[in-house]
Amino acid sequence: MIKYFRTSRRITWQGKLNLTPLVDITFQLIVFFMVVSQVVTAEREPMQLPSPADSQAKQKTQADRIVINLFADEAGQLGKIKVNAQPISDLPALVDMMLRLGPVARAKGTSVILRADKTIRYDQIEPVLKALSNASVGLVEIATEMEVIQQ
Amino acid sequence: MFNLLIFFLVATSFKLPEALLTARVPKTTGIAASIAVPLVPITIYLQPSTGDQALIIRVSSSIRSDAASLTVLEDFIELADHLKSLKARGVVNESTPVVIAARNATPWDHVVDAYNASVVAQFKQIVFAGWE
Repeated sequence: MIKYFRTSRRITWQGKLNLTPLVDITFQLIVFFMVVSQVVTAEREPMQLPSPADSQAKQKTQADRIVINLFADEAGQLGKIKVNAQPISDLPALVDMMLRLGPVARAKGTSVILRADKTIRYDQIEPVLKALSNASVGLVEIATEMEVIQQ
Repeated sequence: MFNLLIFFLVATSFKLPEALLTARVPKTTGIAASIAVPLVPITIYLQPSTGDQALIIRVSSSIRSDAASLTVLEDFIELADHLKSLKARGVVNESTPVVIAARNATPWDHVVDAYNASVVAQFKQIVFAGWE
């Protein structure tokens, strides 16, 4: 004879969610954003670049390059100067540096990229262009904002 | 930890992609550059203005840079069209040097716009010069 016993004990479902993978992914994302934000700002600090209409500018992917950053201050005058994330004291020092680096850059085929704030006066950029031409650099790439074509 | 993630998500500045305009800087920049005579360069004069127009753009395509030979333009789109029309009329060709002569106080933005307009018109030799 089979006997059934009723019990008052209820079987409860104890669902546990393992959060360890979620925490791992979150840490990975944090590290990613920490590293990426440093890499992006090293050479390309924020500034207002010129944005010509119907721009003919193209994107550059070459790794070996000299990036000259010319920042404007509040008055629209030339402020900070950096070359490949290295601060330069003033314009004459930049001109000297270009006269020294120019022939080497030309020999190696290194591209020279000029990133200048669009509000800087032309008379403060012309000495840099002259230094590059006197150093026989030949080709300079002027950074502009990429035009977003809306379709 | 999630606050940290949100902080970095918000603080990371996603910059606008950049593009590059290739410019030649010959050994001697300026109007008296290594340009063979008797080629007459096209000279684009840029002068900041305090009036309604932020910038005065003048183009000269003759040896005499007097008022009669200068064409005054409204904006850089007109400049590009004017340069294209000069080529279409056969007055110049793509090898004709283009000199961008800007006053000291001209913002770099306008100089680059003038350079871009010359590239749109498909000129190959474009140089920068000062204009005292």
